[in-house]
Order: sequence, then structure tokens, then C-alpha cells
Amino acid sequence: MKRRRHDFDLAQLLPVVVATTFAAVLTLLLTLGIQRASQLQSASSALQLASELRSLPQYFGTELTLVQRGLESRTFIGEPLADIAAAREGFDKALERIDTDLIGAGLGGTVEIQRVRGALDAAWARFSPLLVAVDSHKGTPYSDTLSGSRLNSTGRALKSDVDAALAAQDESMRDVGGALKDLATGLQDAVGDRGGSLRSFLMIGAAVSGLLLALMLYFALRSRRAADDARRAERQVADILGTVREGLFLLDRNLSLGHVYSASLTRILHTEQVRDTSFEDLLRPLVPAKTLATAMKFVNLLWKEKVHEDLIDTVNPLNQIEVQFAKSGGGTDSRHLSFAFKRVKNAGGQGEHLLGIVTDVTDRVQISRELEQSKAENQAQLDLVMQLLQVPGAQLQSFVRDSDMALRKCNAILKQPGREESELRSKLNGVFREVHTIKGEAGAMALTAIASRVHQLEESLVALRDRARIDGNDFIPIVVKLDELMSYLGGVGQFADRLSEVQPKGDTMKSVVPPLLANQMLAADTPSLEQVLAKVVKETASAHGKRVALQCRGLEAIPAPYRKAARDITIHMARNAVVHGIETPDNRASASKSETAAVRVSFDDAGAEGYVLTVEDDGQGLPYERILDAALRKGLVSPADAARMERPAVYGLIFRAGFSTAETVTEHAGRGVGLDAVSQTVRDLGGSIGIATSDGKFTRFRMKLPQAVSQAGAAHVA
Amino acid sequence: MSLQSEIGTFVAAVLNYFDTAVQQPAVVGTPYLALGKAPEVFDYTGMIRISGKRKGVVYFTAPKGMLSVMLMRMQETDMSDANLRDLVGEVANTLSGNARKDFGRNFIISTPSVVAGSSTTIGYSPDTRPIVVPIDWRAYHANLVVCLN
Repeated sequence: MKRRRHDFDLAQLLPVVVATTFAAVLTLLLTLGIQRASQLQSASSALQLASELRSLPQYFGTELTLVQRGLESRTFIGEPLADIAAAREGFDKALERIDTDLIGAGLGGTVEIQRVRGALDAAWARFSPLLVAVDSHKGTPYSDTLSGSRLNSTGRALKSDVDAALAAQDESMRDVGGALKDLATGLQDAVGDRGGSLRSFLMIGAAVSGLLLALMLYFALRSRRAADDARRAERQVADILGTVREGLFLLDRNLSLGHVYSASLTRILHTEQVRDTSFEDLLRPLVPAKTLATAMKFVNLLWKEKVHEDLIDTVNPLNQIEVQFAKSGGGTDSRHLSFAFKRVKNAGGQGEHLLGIVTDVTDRVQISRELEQSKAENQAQLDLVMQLLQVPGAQLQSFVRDSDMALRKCNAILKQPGREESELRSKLNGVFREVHTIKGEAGAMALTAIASRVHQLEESLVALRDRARIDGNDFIPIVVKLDELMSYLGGVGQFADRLSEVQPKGDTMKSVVPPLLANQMLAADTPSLEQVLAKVVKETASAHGKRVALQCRGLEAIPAPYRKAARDITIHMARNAVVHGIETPDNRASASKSETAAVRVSFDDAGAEGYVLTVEDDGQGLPYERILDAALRKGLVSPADAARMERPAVYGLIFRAGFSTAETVTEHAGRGVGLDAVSQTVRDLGGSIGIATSDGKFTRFRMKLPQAVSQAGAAHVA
Repeated sequence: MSLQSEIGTFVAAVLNYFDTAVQQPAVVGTPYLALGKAPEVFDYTGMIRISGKRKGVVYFTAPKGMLSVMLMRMQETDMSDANLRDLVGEVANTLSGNARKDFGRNFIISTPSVVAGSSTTIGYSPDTRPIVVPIDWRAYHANLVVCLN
């Protein structure tokens, strides 16, 4: 991987390196070419001057001769003298320019040129003073006499200098001409040499340029191919990201999402605001604050090299989360998402990004739940069958009939008109009472599978009751569960019918159930209320770590129309007595009471005054303060009302819907429904309830029932 | 998707229709089961049939008076039978649209259909208890009936 990355870098840099090198070579060649061209120009200039100077010796001879003849003929000689002076000065200047050009042509240090140049100077130095002597004469060379013009002294001196110059002219001019010829020859060679160099540089430059052009074409083609490959790869990546069902994204060290992510990401997260968004902002609307904080800690941990990402994945708080998305038409859609993370390392093994993978696992979760539910239902059905086999068929049929009636009553309550909050809460409490009664019956018959099923409906009712505001829409889960419960109990009813068919036929039953169970079933008659209460008290006491002895009196004398109501009432109250009234054995011992508590249930005929059903325990008495606290906490009374309430009124609160002093909810208590149901039942029967209690000593509920049972009351409880 | 969520989708569709098309919200009453006899059918009923993961029928049934006032709210002056049918058909179409969007490919949803007359019988599986969701709007009362097994 490292090698490949290195190759990639070289491949990227090669065109730059080559172009730079070639440009440097070309620059060098051009510089040298310019230098050679400049030298060539200087050498050419010097050659031209040298060539021009070669005619001057002859010119000097001619002008000197003109001066000589002028002197002899006594004519005007000023012009040839001036020409000599100008030519001489021109020669001097030309020599200076030649020197400058020689330096410019790089010939200043050339031995041969210096030698030739020295010879020229020497030859000129010999002749030049003679010319200076001639052209420096001033004044008229003639004097007029009667016999004509004669040379005066100036003229004679001039003539002498001219003669001397002419005498030396041939030799000197030959030397100067020879030196100029040699110089010209040397310069011609230099020009040829510089021209050749310049040509060479230009040819090399052209070749280098051509090569550079070829290489640039090659690199351009290669770059285009690479660009095509890159575009193809980009298209393929885009195809993958557009097709993959998972939401893929990259997180940088600031935990911000990059520009590249799969199309599914926005669909899964139900947002288009993904690019450059911080992961925290992305999660914030999806998860609770606590989960968000944990998730951010987890993701930050992934950047630490020492942390093993596979091991830490086991504590990923986003491994499976349930999120709610708002639906366009209102309401929310619950989805299950799974986030996974992988480190993305660069060529140097350093973590550059985190690859995030988010998957909508709702279907998988639902299938898993359905599977779990199916398993649980199978187990529950098995448990139910085992429990049903232990209940006499007639009793089971009675239970199913009563439960069905209670559920129909729940449905009738729901069907009643009434949309106001108070009306909805009244409906809720009504349904609560019925459901709780079914659960109590099921529990009393040890049909825990059914009790558990009813308990689920109770859970939904509790959740609804605890809401600050409720509306009709909130009852949808209730009616769905009610439907499910009716179907469930319908199945139980069918089983009860079959059971009642086979129960009298002992041989037949033995053939379908285990012998031990069959014997139990045969032995079991419909249990009396006392037996049911004994079972309820025993199980409840066991569940709460208490010791309780039940004492019953007169229950067999309860008139038939009251039996169902008395059964419901006493089951609730006996269970309440054990859970709330009776202390633990330790507490009883410390209060100098027997560790085994007593619960007494009695039914008395009071003659014309009707009947009295009493449920009494020798427990701690009604806790006045706890009742008041609980009522305040649940908002059943205002603080102002609480301050004014007398003890009997406070005790009366325990019959209010939703009241419970239990800290936690169990199958036996905590819903705040039992005494509400009892109160309602007694009221429906036209009776009343009285409470007597003493702190640390006892609690007694006396329910007075009228002598004659009205048709309406009987129908209600039947 | 649970039956509870599915009912929620249908209820949301109807409420949304009142909010947006009629521009006056409706109120949901406490839902209940139709036990023993078929749920009440009003003058006009728009329904969709569902098959696939669940089977059954979902319908919105409303009295003529309610539908007429709804049309008035929608600036309609034509209170003909055809227009009233169109209105419940539109509500059924909303039910169908929301169901298609929310339920996914596991559900096959029929084209909405409309029946008129309170004596109409709408068939459903005898093994199923229809869930009736009362829809109250102004002084009128309609029902959304969900009957899915």
C-alpha cells in the first residue's frame, strides 16, 4: 500500500520534474545563444571596422601628397590637412571601438588577437605622430613677395613634416595594413566560430524543445487516460453509493460528515441536511440526551489507536436504537437503526476518518421480536394449558363467561359518547376496574398465564392514565389489546368447553392428560370462596415475605346473587390486607405482635338491616400520612384541601380511582384499582362501606349490603 | 408494523384530510369494537380493501349532512349525489395513499370504492372484530372502521 502510494506520487510529479528540467536546459541554451549572438554581433562590428580601416593608409598617402603638391604649387592646403586630422582621429576612435567590440566578442583575452592588436597599435603608433606633426601646423605656409609667393618658415617646416610622413608612409602603412588584415582575418575566424556556436545552441535548443513537446504530449495523453480512469472510478463509486442500501458516510476528526455519502443515508435518517453536518447534530433529534452523550464518547474513543475497535464495538450505544420520525401526514414512524463504525487509515497507518455505516434494521428487529413473541406465546400457551387442566371445567367456563362480560362492559364503556378529558378519564377508570377484576379472578384461580396477559392491558391503561392529557386517539392501543384479549379468552373458553365435556368421563380424560393431573382434576370440585381466599392470601403472603393465617366465617351462607360480588370484593380486600396492612414478621416481632398475622373474612346476616361482609386484619392500620402524601402526589386532592381534611375523609381517599400507596407496581398491588373496584361494586349493589382502623393494631372494612338484591344490582354483578 | 400503528395511520389520514382539505379539525372519539353486529353504515361510504400481510377492509362512512357541510367549507356549491360520492372517495383515496406510503410492499391496497345508502352491507371476515373509530366534526358524527385480521 505504501509502495503504491509512493508510485502514485512519482507519477504525479514526473511531468513537473521533466518540464522543469527541460525548461532549465532551454533557458541555459537560450542564455548561451544570446551570449553567442552578442559576441557575434561585436565580432562582426569589429570586423567591419577593421575592414573599413584598411583603406585609410592609402587615404593618408593621398592626402599627404595633396598637401605636398599644394605646398609646391603654393595652393590652399587647409582642406587636405583637415581631412588628415579627421581621418587620424577617426582611426583612433575606430581602434577604441574595435577594442570594445573585441571585449564584447569575448576576444579580449585571446592571445592571437592580442598579438595582432598589439602589432596594429605599434604600427599606428609609429605613423600617427607623423600625421599629428603634419595636421597640427597652424598659420599660413606662404609669404607673398614681389616675385611671387614663397614658402615661409611654417611652410618649410610643414613641407619637411609632410615629406617625412610620406617617406615613412609606405612602410608604416604597410605595417598598419598588414596588422589590420591579420586582425580582420582573426575576427573573421571569431565570427565563424561564434556563428557556429550559436547555430549549435539553436539546434540543440530546437531538439530539446521538440523533445519537450513530445514528452508533454505523452504526459498529456497519460494524464487524460488517468483522468478518464478517475472519472470512471468516480462514476463507479457514485453507482455504489447510489445503490447500496446502507447509509455510508465518513467522519473527520471534528466528527463532521464529509461530502461523500451514500444516497440511502438521507432516506434512512429522514433528512437532507447531511453534508458538513456534525455527527452530534445529526443524532440529536434521534436519541435521548443521555444516549447522545454516551454515543459521542464512544465515537471519540474510536480515534484512540490503543482502543481495539472490534472489542469496543460490543459497547456501541448506537448498535441498535429505536428512533421516531415525524410522518408528513402527522404522527410518528418508529424505526430501528443500527450504527457501526470502522477506522479508515491512510498509507502511513494513521487514522484519517471513521467510516460510519447506518442500517435500518426495523424489519430484522420486528422479525426477531415476532419470533421471540411466538416463542413466548408458545410457552405461555403450554403454561396456560397446564394451568387450565388444573381448574374444574365448570369453574373455568364461569370464569370465561364473567371475563367476557367484563370485557364487553369495557367495550360498552368505550362506546359511550363523551369526548371531554374528564369523560375520557372516567371511561379509563371504568375499563380499569373491569380489567383489574378479571386479573384478580385469574390470579385467584392460579391462572397466571391469563393474569399476565390481562396485566399487559393494565400496563397500557396505566401508561395512559399517567399522561397529562389524553384524547380519543390514545385509546387505540387499548381497544387493540381489548380485541386481542377477547380472542385470547375466546380460545380459553373453547378449551373450557372441551374440558367440561371430557371431565366427567374419567377414563377419557386419563387418555388425554397425565395420570397425576387427571387425578387432581377429578378430585377437584369447584373451590369454595374460603379455599380461593386461602390460596390468594397464601400466594400474596409468600410473594411479600409475610406470614398470614386466614380465618373465615359464614361465607358459605352468602346468598347466590351476592356470591360473585362477594368473591370479587373479598379477593381484592384480602390481597390488599396482606400487601398493605400486614407487617413483615420482623416488624411484627419488634412491635410485640405474633409473627403470624391474622386476616379475618366474615359474612353475617343482620336481619332487616341486610348483610354485613367484613374483612379485617391485625396489621399496622391505615397509614394516615402515607395516604395523604400519596393523594397529594397523584393530584387527587389539593394541598389546601388536604390541610382541611379530617381523618375519615382521608381514609375515604383509598377508594378513589388511581389511588395507591404502593411505591412499586406488582401483579398484586400498586395500580390503585382494587379498592376503587370494590367501592364501585358495593355502590352498584346499593351498599356502603365503613372503615375502622387503629395505628399498629388493626384495619376493618365493613360492607353493608341490602337484604333484597335488586334485579339491576344482580345483573351488574352476575 | 402493528395493527395499532396501522390504525394510527388511517386515523392520521382522516384527521389530516379535515385539517388540510376541509380546513377545520375533526376530533377522534374513543374507539371500540363492533361486537355482535356490523358497525353502523351512514349515507356515503368510501372504502379500501387490503390484502397481503393483513386482509380486510377499511372504510370511512359519513352522513349526507356532514358531507354537504364539508363541501360547503371547501367552497363547493354542487351538493349532488355524484359530488358527495367524490368526497368520500377522496377520503378513501387519502386512506389508500397513506397506507401505501406507510405500510410498504407487504400490503396490497385496492383502488378506493364508494357505496351509498345506510342499508348497505359491507362484507368482512366473520373472524374479525371491526374496530370503530368515531370521528366527530362540528355537530356531525362519522366513523372510520378498520377491519383487518
